[in-house]
Amino acid sequence: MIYSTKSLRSGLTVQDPVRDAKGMVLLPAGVVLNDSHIAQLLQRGIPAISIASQENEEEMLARVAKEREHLVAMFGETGATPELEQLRRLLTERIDAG
Amino acid sequence: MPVEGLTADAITQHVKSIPTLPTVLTELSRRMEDPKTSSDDLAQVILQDQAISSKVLKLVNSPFYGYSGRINTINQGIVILGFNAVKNLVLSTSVMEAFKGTESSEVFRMDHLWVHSASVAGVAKLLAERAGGADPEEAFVAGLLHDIGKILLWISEPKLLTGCITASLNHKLPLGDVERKVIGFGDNELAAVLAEKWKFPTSLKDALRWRPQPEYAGPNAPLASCIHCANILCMAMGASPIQPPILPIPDTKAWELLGLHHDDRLRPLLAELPLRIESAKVFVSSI
Repeated sequence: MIYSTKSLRSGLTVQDPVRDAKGMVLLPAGVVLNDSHIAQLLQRGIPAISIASQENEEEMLARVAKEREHLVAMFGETGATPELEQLRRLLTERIDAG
Repeated sequence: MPVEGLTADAITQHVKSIPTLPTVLTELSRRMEDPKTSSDDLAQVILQDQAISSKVLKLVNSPFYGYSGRINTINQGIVILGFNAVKNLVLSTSVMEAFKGTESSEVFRMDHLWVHSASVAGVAKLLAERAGGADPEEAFVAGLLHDIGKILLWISEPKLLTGCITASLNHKLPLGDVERKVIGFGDNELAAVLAEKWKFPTSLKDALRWRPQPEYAGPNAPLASCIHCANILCMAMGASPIQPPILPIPDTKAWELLGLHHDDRLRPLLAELPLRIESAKVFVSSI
């Protein structure tokens, strides 16, 4: 899940390493955020980071169902082309991977 | 049946509120043609407009623009990024400023449109950097401005655009296709007329005009391809001016030109997009 830095709170777990614009790792994956981490991210102008999911199974299933519904709606009635099929397949892969 | 007598030119001529771009832009273009002009001269021209100067600095230092260092002055920006890049940034901020205050509706939200445009700018720049063939800075500007025709259509014919959006959602067809059927032309053509009126460079004008069919952009096909593909990818990842979007059909040549037909290129790109879209949201909310 992507969280804007302003909406972060202590106790959330970093999902993917947080890097600055030069690619240097500021926070590795798995770190549990505290106030000092959040202040550092704000100070460095990091707009958003990826946070490990806090959902229970029911919430996760509801989200996946909603995302799948959205995906179906996006592809409309335009018909299948190899590019749209590839995009649909990779987006489905992302939804299934959570 | 398309609306009779309605052309892209007619719309631009009848809209009284088409904003004018600041004189700093014209002066900048004039000075850039003079080989004796120094970076300091150009900086002085830009600094005449304080609002534009501060926005350019904000834009170039924002994480979504992607420059890894810190730029503190316009002069420094010109030296590091080059004349053209800074001129493009002045152009972008001038256009954003010109449309500031445009009202939204339930179906057409200006905040969504600018987040979408800023996201497309960032992704188009990335595609240009990775695939080559187009100037990344120009791809950024083309991405940021690719929907200006939609804004003009909204200002001039709000009922018509609302009708097109509703038809797009009801019939599950891409908005551009509905516009072409209902109005007789797409908002990309309005963008091109506006680009002509505002004397944008030919490359930018061609990219805006041919976004739906990049191959017709001739030597500027790579630039048009960058915004064509970035537009679809950003919509697919949730940054769309219309919710929920109906995706346009990707152009095969553009898709292949940028290497997106390879899963191992497209998959990591899709993984990068959520963070880029968040950065675009933060940027748009700060200007």
